[in-house]
Amino acid sequence: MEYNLSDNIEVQSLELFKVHKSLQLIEEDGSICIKGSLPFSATLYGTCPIVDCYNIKIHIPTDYPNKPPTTTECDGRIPRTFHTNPDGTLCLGSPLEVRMKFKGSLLNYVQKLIIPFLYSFSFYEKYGKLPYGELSHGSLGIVESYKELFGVSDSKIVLGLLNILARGKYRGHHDCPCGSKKRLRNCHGSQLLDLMNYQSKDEFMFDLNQCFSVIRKGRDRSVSNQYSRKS
Amino acid sequence: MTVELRQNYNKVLENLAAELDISPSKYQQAVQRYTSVGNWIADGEYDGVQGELHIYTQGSFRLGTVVRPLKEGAESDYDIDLVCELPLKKSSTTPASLKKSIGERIKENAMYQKMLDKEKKRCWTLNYAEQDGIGFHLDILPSVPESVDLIADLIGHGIPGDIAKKSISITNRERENVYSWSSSNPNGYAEWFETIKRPVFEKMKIVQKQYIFENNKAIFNQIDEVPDQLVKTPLQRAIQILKRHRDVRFAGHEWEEDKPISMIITTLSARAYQHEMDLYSTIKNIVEKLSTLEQLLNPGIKFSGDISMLQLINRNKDGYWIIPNPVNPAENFADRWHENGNRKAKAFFQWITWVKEDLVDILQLSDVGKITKTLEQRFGDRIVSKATQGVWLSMSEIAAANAGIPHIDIDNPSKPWSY
Repeated sequence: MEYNLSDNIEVQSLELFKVHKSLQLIEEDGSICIKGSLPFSATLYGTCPIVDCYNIKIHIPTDYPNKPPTTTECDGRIPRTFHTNPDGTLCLGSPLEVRMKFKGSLLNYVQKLIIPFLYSFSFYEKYGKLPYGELSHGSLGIVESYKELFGVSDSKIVLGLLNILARGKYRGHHDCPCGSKKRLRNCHGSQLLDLMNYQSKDEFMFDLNQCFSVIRKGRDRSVSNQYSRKS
Repeated sequence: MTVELRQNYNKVLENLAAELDISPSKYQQAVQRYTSVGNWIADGEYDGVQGELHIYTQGSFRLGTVVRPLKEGAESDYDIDLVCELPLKKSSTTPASLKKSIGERIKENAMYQKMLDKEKKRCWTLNYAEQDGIGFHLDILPSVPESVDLIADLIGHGIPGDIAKKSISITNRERENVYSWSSSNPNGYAEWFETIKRPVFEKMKIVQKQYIFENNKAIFNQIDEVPDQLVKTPLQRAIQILKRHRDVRFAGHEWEEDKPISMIITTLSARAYQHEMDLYSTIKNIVEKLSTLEQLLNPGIKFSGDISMLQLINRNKDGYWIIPNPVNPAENFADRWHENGNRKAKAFFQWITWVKEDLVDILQLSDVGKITKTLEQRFGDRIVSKATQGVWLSMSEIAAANAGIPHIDIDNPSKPWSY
């Protein structure tokens, strides 16, 4: 099992290093990391170019690739108050979104998650605002990310759709909880089926409970985060 | 407005038009489809017909101004018009038997019979569903050469002989079993259009063919195989952008039914074109000339000088609007503009104002982000993000590319979050 893991990592890191040449694979305290400087040039939908460089460390979990890696920024340039988890790792997006972009590939992880995150911080340093907004902290942010994912504005609909995922009770002929009056299979159905590839029922149940607690407390009103305010 | 911004904006407009256009591989596929049908029809037996049938494309496919149509806001299949001209004297046949004989021949082929749509007013339509999901509607237009009298009449109206002689008679299905003739000249129109674009076409041909060849080596073995139709002058590009802009702007609008027809956009753009070599100047010139004419909405206004020489839009003393077909002065493209209190004329000038705001004045913003946003509203996010890709690059990025730093264009980013 362990052999398979490092084999997979080795192939993937070779693919990664071809593009991002200053990163390297190291072993530290018995765990595998990828460390080094990450220079990048990035545009957002072809606009707002930024060229920058960060020193980062990517931690590969033991059950990779079932679980996505985590990342820390090594120079202390990004303050702990800017979307970092209590353990100091960068918070690249809601857990489900991270999985959907990571898709078991290190290169995806760097290009679709780390660089967009670093880009948004560089952008913030330069212009004093975030290029694509941010989610609220904690459970409220989870509710917000599901609202965006499903394209709905009502939190109760998020509960309805999550309930299907958490209980594994997908029935295509039932009415879609979003209120479109369409059958599930003709509405949010295909999206739900796709989401099942990224998280287990239990994980969706966890998200459902978090959303439920927020909504019960009546806290599901957007509260602006400190970085959304113009400085 | 900096020179750099203007150049980049031009590039974005070019890319945008190319996105609206048919791709070289799709073009080749279309040519194959209509060539096979054309051959099938040409191989048929028709009463009294001796000699070759003349089969050729007309309309936007012929002019190189194709835009993938939008139906209810979604991209739809391409329309291709194919003229099928039988070498028959108009007096020796009837519109009913002409229409029927071509229809019969199409139905003799089992495959075409299945694809055949119900009979249309002027044509037979074959619907091609293609594997890539982008199909074609092929309109086959039965016709015969126009009568000698009518051709003489056209020449009398000042149309050059070689263009007038290309006129054809086409069939109209008025209702069940009742048909009539009408006159048309798609070949002559295409020739008129080509004459206008030719000087610029000749200048651009070699470079563009080289570029198309380099990027489509799977389709073409050598540069010579790249057809002239794939080379696009700024005039053609401008017409493509204007047509799509019209479709988007009028979608769901109360004047949607009165939006300017493609023939008017094409004719007026070609008449206004002054052989500009770049797309932005081309659109700017067209829009400025046409917006001057908005004063025609006030009765009794008269223009003099250059603008009247161009014969763009006229209004006679009875208030009727006139946009003559350049190859048939008797045909007026604006024959219904006076109806409902000049609604079609008003819709046209409203649209010109929109074009000016959305595509010309926008450059004064001098803000790449705002320009991109406006274009996205008008042409859609996906298509604009493709058109702007790699264009708005700064010097620092070019330096980065030279230093081997990877470049990434972020789309659909995740918002940061934390516990």
